[in-house]
Amino acid sequence: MAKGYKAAAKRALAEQPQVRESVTRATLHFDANRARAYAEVEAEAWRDWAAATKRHTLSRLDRYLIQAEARLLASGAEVHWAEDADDAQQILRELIDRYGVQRVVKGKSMLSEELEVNGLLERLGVEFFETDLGEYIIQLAGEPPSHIVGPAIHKNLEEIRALFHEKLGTPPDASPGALAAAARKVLREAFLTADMGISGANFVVAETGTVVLVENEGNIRLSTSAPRVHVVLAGIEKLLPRVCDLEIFLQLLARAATGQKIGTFVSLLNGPRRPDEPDGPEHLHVVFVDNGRSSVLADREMYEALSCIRCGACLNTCPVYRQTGGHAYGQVYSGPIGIVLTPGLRDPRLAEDLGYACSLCTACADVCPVKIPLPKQILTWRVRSAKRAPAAERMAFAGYAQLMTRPRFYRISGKLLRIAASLTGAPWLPVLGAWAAGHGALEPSPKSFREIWEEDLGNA
Amino acid sequence: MPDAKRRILRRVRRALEGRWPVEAPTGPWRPAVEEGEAVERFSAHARANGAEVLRFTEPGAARAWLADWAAGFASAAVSPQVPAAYVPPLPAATPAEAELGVSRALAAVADTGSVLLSSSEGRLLQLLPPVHLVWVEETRVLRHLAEALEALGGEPPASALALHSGPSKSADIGQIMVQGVHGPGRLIIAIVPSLEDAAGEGKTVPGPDPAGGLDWDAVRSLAGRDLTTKRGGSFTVERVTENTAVVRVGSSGKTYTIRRHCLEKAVQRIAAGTPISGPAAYRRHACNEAPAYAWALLHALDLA
Repeated sequence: MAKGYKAAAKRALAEQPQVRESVTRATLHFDANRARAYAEVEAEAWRDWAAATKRHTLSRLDRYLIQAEARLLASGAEVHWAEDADDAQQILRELIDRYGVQRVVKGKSMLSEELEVNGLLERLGVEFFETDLGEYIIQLAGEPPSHIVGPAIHKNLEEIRALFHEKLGTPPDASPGALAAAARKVLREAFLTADMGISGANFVVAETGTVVLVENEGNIRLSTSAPRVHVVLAGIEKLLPRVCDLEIFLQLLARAATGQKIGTFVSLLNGPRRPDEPDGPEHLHVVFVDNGRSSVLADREMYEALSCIRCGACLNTCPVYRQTGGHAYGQVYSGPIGIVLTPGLRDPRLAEDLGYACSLCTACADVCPVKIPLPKQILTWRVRSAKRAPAAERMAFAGYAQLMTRPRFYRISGKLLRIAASLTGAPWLPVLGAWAAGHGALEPSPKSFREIWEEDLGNA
Repeated sequence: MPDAKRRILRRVRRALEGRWPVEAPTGPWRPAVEEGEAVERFSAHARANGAEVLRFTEPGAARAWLADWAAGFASAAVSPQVPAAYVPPLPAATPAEAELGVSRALAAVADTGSVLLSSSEGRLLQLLPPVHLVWVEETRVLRHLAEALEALGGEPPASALALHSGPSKSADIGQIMVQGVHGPGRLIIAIVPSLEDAAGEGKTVPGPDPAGGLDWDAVRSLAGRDLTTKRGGSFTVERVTENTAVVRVGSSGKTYTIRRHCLEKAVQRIAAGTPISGPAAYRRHACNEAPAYAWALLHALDLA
């Protein structure tokens, strides 16, 4: 089977037309809500401010990490550091052993996908539940998430009905409310019996060591409140300097992601349960994960992508993402931000494929709440991957450059081309491959623009 | 991974080597302030989020409503911080079994329609019952999120604070909105003048004073004035909005935004007996944003 975005996209469009329909509908809906919510506030000023705050944080990341660690330790949390997925899995394995964990409830976390936590839990024989409704749906279906915010947006109601009918025994024509109630019943039991909750982190405030989590369902609040151990997986780029920075970031995240004023539930966590509190986890562990982030930071043309707050706005507005959904990218992060981050986090060679899942329309740059220059970065990845292109292609483009920068060559070759085309039609078009397939046949005009121009000038 | 921390920090430092640090922007931005007082704006926003909001001007009316409304439930899990007069007359149950959870909010936020809840009353009673009733004191309805978040500054009052801004919801099933997915399907916010008087035994919950004791009109009157800092630098008050004062420095032309609630905080500290005799004291006791100019503003008003 052919690999890469192009092949996967082709397969998806041919074999699962309903994916395109569901994804387009959902993303248009998200994007329209985002546009309305931006228009209600001084979005431009907020975005400038948020972008500057994130750039500042990244430029002093080492200090803020040390400050956050000190504050977390002071609040009674344990802090761990993981260089890569292996480290993070090792830390989780030790925690699971230490606390004798048999059951885990998980809040939605893209980092957990990156670290393949589910695979680890499976291998260890630990029972685990994705508790976000969308994540639970795809866990039942055995699929990875296809969108940062709406992991199951590629599935329509019919598919989810059939899935729940098979796995949970709901009636084949159950309403969305009844389906949600069935999931709630299973997961409620899981929350109350789990030994460990695993979550990501939307923000970690360096000033106070506060872990901030944003959601709409309440599953993250429950995952971080009911079990006796809570493990936070946080990318090292998740830091914010001050508590007061949350004012804009919480509102901007919600407006960019779904058009809400603020996420329905925001958790602000400062350490494990205190002695005078009736409930809450007895142990809080925060794992700071690098997993390629420090290499992105070192890349001066790409480091701004670490400002990303995972709102999904660039996915929702991307005309390419809207057609195929996230699975075709074959990576944890899809859409424009996925194209930019994935080669930096994993392997620069991935840009040779992913860099072209983009029409360079620049819509993503207009919506990004932290103003990441995504189109510029995608173009940079293309330039870099072009240096590794086949020799024939590089020579062809070098020749093209010679031609286009010398007026005489340009004129002669234009003439030759017109003569050839009038004799043969355009049999050379297939040479241009995919480009020609997407464009109409070229019918060269009998005269070049220059010739017409000069003649008209002569007549005038 | 004892060495992982060292190695990660080393890589981060190497990545940043030779780069200029980017300065943090001054002062967070505020949403455009809508017309209307905080409680009205809060109610409108919370309702738009799907919450039910009730406002009582008389403690008696609130208690009468509670007695009547609570009759529809079989049991309740109630926060120990809710004064007895506002506890529904229902058998107590654990949060997992109760039909109703009752909380007392530390604060409410008008901008976002949120209530701020503390884990000191228990987290599960805020999450497990299908219906969640939250009592809010009128004076604790704040304008902006930052004012509520100040509760986190210094020593956080509890291990987990939470902002609830409506019922639990999800559109993960075919983009159709469903309420009450994991958390409460109904959030009822009841605003009362005070939670202290009626019971006489309710504990005082520390929270920021929204008024602050600063006459904002006096600050407004400074607009257009030329002032000097303690060290003699001259600057101009360019404009004063609802929440900010913007100053322009004479020598560099740079502008700084000074937030209203930073100034309010400073005035509160002064009122509480902490002298703020200069920018250094302002930075220490109030806010670290543009202290030289903020202090000069207060000084010009004879407040510091």
